[in-house]
Amino acid sequence: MDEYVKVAFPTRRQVWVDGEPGGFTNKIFQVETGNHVFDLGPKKNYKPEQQECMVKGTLPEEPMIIAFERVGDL
Amino acid sequence: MRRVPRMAGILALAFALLAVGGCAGFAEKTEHLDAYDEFRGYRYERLDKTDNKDDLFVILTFSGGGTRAAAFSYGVLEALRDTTVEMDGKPRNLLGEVDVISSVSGGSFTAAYYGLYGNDIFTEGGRFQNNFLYHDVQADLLYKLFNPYNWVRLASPEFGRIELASELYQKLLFSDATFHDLEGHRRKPFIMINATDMVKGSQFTFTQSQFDPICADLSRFPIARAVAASSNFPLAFSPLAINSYPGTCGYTEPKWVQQALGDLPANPRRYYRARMLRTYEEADRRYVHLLDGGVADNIGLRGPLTSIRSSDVDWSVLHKINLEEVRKLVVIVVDARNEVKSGLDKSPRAPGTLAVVNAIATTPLDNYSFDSIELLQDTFRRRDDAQRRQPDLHQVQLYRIYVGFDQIKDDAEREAFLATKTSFDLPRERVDALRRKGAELLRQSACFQKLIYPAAAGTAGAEARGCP
Repeated sequence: MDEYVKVAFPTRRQVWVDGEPGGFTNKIFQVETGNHVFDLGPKKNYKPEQQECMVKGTLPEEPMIIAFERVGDL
Repeated sequence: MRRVPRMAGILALAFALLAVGGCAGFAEKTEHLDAYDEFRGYRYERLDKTDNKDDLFVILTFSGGGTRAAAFSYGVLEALRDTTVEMDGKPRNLLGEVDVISSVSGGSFTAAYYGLYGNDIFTEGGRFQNNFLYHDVQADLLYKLFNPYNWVRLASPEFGRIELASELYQKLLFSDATFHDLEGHRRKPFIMINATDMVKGSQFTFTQSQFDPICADLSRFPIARAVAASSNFPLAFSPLAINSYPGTCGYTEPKWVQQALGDLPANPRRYYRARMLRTYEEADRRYVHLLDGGVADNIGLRGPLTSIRSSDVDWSVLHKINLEEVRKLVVIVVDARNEVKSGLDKSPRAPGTLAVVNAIATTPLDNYSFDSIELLQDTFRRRDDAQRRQPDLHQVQLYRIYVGFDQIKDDAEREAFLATKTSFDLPRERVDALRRKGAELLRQSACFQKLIYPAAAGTAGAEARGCP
């Protein structure tokens, strides 16, 4: 099934899904139902380092919101 | 020219071949992959995108069906060659925009030859036409089989009938070309030649990402063998075996696999995809035995469907959509499914073995193909619906085009095409008619018209939606 996710972050950057670039922050994108690992790629100026989520039962109008916080460049 | 009596079809050929015998097809050792490297080998992402960007993403699928399928898909390629489509006010040749061809069995001959030799496939009287489309390949196969020299070879448990087919396709079409040659020119389309893993019952595609978990090097694998595996009709030929060297090349599985193994309740399809991939890492799996790609999917659509619906494949179209790289997604399904009338229903006599085997071999394939086409429709409609409800989603125009004999309006003509047998020997006039009909049905498709003449599609809103 199709699921919808929005990754919140102060700036626009790529979102990595299961280790591959798979969307952009602050923009709704589609994923397949199931467990996924989300992170913001190699530049580690965010926390948490990654988020593992079961994405299920979302709608285009009600996506799962996953928030990352910006921290100083490491 | 050598002639043999024309057989009733591939199944009749099967029984002739069975009479001669032969065991598993395993004449050539598959090369070991010394070190796994996700950036090497035949992969979509390694192809050059300078002239063919992903913004207009075109996927073709070519079904099985012997020369009937090869000629029908050839006609579609000819029509695409002669078509331009406008993007950003600039004309683009549609054939030059094809990104992926996923093929099965008879369709794999056309796909592989086009992938290797590009527009040379269209040369009138050229190698593809003379040595395959208009050639009695079936007679060649039988000639090889009844050659006493080959009986000695077939007596070996490691040399099967499929090896004779592979040798023939090498001689007729592909010479010594390997996947290294496909990699070498780095030109799209990405050719996905599909076979079936007979032990697992799953699709097996000749790409390096499929070969990675078995630590085998696709680049040194002959194209002729891949096409032979893809068109390896059960019983007619022996399964084709390739070596597997799991755990010997430093392979690391993609991150999604571990995630998906927890998805059985939520998404069984994803769970089984992960399980299937894991089976190739089992240390005691030393060989993979391959049958005709049509056994798992006779229209070659399942791989593209997974790519459109999931991020779990290395050429995920869903990822490309999410990354806003794709603006128009076009899927053209070329389905040469036939419907030969048996006449069995007119008699109380029990159908013979040949008829029963034929029913077992073809009925599930047709049913599954129908499901795949419906799944594509469902996938596109749900995406289109989501885009309309949520404008924040990347808006991609979706074009779903089906080319099949069912769409012929004239009853008699439709029946005639549906009655075309599955064979590697069709009369020249039939091949010509199949070429013309493939091109004509594509051009007549309302969705195809909408793709190439968007201004005529009506309102701007209709144009923006494509035809999901």
